[in-house]
Amino acid sequence: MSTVLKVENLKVHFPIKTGGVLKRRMVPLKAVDGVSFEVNAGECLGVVGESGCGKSTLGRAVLQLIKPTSGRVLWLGEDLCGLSPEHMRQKRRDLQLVFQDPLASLNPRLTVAEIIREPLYAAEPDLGRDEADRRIDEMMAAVGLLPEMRNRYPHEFSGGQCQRIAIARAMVLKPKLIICDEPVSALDVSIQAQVINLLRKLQRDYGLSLIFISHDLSVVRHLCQRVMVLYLGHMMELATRDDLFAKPLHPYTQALISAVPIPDPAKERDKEIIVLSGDLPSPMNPPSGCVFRTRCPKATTKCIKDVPMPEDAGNIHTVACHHWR
Amino acid sequence: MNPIFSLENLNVRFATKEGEVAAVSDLSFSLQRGECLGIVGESGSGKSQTFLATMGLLAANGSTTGRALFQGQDLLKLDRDALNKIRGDRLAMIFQDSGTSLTPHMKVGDQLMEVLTTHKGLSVEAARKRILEVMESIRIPEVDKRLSQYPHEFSGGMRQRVMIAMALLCEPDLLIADEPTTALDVTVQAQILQLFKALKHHTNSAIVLITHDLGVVAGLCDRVIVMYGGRVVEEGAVADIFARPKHPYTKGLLNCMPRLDQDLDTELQAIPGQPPNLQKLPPGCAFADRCAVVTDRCKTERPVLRDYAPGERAACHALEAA
Repeated sequence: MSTVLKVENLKVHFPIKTGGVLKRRMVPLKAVDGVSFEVNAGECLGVVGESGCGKSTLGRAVLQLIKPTSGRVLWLGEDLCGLSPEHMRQKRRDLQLVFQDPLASLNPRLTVAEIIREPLYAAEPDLGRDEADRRIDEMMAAVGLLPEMRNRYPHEFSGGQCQRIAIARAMVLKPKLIICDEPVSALDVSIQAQVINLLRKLQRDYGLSLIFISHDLSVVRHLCQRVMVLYLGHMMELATRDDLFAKPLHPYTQALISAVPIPDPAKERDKEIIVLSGDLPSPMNPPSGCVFRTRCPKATTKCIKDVPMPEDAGNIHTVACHHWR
Repeated sequence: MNPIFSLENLNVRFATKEGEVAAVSDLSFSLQRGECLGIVGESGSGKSQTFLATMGLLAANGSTTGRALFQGQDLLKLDRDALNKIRGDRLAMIFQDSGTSLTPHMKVGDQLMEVLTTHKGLSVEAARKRILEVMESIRIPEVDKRLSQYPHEFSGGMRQRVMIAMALLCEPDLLIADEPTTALDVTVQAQILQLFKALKHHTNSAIVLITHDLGVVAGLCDRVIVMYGGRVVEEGAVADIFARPKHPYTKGLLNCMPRLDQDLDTELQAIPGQPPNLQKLPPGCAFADRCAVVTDRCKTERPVLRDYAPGERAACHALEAA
């Protein structure tokens, strides 16, 4: 399988002012701290983690919407970091984004057709009106919007419909990669399933690569071929979906999977839940050594001293933990 | 046994410029002491408004009819002062958004203190002792430091714990939790759910858990009510509903959820269409447009809730025919 995207040691640090007037200093908030991964053509990579783990920042940094502090983002072999804005703009044809809040990400003053037309204008200003209309209609049909909805405004639609519009906008240029940032989290379960099925169909029909950012492990398991687990800006584990859910190696992944409620009373009441103590530490003052050690049931003194490096556990399964064996 | 809480034909309506919104219609159920009831439904199903109405917390344009009997007293007939004596004391509610449910400019300790001095008339000393006891029981670390902090200094999970502590201070007879874990991360949700499980064992309070997450219901509740379009479509024991759902909507909900224990690569069976518009509810079944087993009768005649076994009710024409 060919690799389309290769991210190497990506870091995104935000400078944060702290202290009073006299003791003012800048402290880096390490939102993403040295993450590496690849995305293959036609593959869906899931990125999971809890709020504050850096998953959204990661998605934006890949698209250069946030400038990475260091590291490389290789798109078809070419480093996107440091491209001129004009150059980057051409790349955006292939790289699109779908956001969590469907209504907030659509311009309320534009009709559905105008919203979907925007990327066409930006990327192909010379495109004739008839051809643009044809592509808009094709895309609306592909995401399950009816032709008579063309001239309606976002507020006339429900959340699920708005997400379809946002997906049509992302798809209209026939991109090679779409980064979906929690695209179904704001939707009701019955509508969630519609959008998940739509993404699966589009991925199949158009040979799309997807990076699917989500906190919901059940959704990720359903949609993705490989899954990466993030915690406090660090990669904890990266494996094929089947491996990750059947035999998670990292204590954090194990806790995450055990915490997901199963809608079956017998199973849910019998299952062993690994309850982590405490909350996520502040990313401005992360723990030394392994960032997960303050909540880890397996933590030892080694975890306080040494940062665990990603290790190959076989079968393209990578894990960053001193105690995975 | 007399139920501790029962609703009789509760209707909640909102007057809007575009017309009347029927948020809750003809809702009746009862709850025993020590029971944990789950209320499940999607946004707009009326699950939250039902309890906001019984707590006297409806928006200004809302109106309520029916009866809400709590220990024999109709809550809907009480004036504000009488309600205030019960709310927070024998009847407590936990809301989804702990960030906006706590007063931002008051120290957490003072907010907790207020509950006890108002309802129980405790001295500051005695109230403090009780607060420490409750905070201890729900495992809030460094209690002394925590009590003199403001809500913004707490994480979401910690704030939700404070909300739970506040609700438990007076040992309520009925605890209503409206999506208590929805805004939380899964690992923190697991902590809070563990807390609820312990609570169920150690107290004799009745608990109502309002949620859209069937997984949470499966782990915690004894009985479930499924709501759609402001009405009950199905009610039953947890084991029965999950194993043998009767109503097509309940079946649809269970089939459309991606779940960790299912076979991989099965297509999710999405429920087609959209939830109903509560301003223009159809004369027949509200679920008719999305239902797989719909008939002509469903579009004109509303199905009534019928008993199918003790404690098992459902409202569907297809069930009657079978």
